[in-house]
Amino acid sequence: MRAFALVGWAVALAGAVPGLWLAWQWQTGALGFVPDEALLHWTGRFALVFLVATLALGPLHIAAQWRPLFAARRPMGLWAFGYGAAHLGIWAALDQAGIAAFIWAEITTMLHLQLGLAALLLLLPLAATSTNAALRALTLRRWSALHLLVWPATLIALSHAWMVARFENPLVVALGALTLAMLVTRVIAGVRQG
Amino acid sequence: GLSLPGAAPWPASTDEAHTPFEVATNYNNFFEFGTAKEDPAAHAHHLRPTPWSVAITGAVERPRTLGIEDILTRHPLEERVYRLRCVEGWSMVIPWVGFPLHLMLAEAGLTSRARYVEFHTLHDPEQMPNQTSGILDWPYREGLRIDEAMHPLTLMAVGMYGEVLPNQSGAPIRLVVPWKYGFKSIKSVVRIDVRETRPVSSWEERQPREYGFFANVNPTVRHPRWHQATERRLPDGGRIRTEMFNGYAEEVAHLYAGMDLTENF
Repeated sequence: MRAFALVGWAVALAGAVPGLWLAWQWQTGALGFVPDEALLHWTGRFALVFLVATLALGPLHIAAQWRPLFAARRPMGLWAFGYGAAHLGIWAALDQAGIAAFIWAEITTMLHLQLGLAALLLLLPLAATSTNAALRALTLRRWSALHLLVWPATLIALSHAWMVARFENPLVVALGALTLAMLVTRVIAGVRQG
Repeated sequence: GLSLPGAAPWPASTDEAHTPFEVATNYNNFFEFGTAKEDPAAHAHHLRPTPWSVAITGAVERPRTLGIEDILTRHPLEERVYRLRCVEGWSMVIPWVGFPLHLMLAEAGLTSRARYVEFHTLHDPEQMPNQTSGILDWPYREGLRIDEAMHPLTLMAVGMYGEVLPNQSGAPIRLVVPWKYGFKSIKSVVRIDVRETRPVSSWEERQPREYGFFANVNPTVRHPRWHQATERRLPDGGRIRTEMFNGYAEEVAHLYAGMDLTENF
């Protein structure tokens, strides 16, 4: 049990590192002359990486035969949601300067924004039910079914990122390939188990 | 950079606050040096803006090749403060130094076949390292209709902020068309070809659905992947509404009378 708690806390703390690094870069002027854009892009990348890493912990903890790794999933998933929410906040407050009319006009017409928002909305109930109490209240069966939403959320978030990338985007391609591979493996395993 | 003295202030300049020189020269697109905004400033030292010459070819009575020193003294230089609106949704206010293109074209003498103008950027991967990549079909080419090219707002810039153009901003000579998206304002020009048929510009060739030949700033015609209704005024002017023809409608709207600007975007 100690290993579980240790891994959980370690990941919960480590997840803050990219955000702190970004804040440091921002405050020291290392993000260039238009830092808003860098903040927007980096928080988006962090959210994607944490999201796919959370999914990858499933096969990884089986392959590694070390159960405490499983404890990393909750803090990692929460950080994915946190960076995604920060990404949305930066877009609205800095990129769109917090002007409601501009934000509304963009969201109602641009597909990539609708996709990004949809991914975040799908992750919201997962973040909200990430406590032990919520797990008990839902029962494991229903909780697990609800948390399958992470798959459509990830695929939608990846398509959002793909649409905004101007040229070939190696990160999105790599994360997309990994996600699809994991999804296929999981579906095949599910079919075998009946 | 070297200062360019004696440019007469142009009376119709916008009185909006100038974008700081450091921002205008460290955040821009010049894909010959890389696709990131900081790439031009980081890699443009490979470019050798002297010696340099510009060839004027095609449907002109007196085709010619002019050295840059000659170009600098041929026409009176003016300082013109223009708004610059990038197709990506950001904008700046830049004091250019230059002369109207029509002076250069009139000197070469347009023939009756002169209907379009095509501009070419230098093609030399040694000076422009990212020309080894396949993101565009090099050299970069841009085009204007002859009435657009002859319009008094259309500028050949040789400087900005009172200095000769920094390499990353298109040294030693570039086009500035203030009512069109920034990618029309081709940098480091080596050839101006006057022609009868409409040229295909580099971005139009690569993504015709996204980048049209005219590329007039138009808040009502969106880019397939983003809005054009608003823009970020750099570095910290917030987000503002984009004006039709970038605020130059009074001067240029007549050029497009009767044209469907949704079709001809």
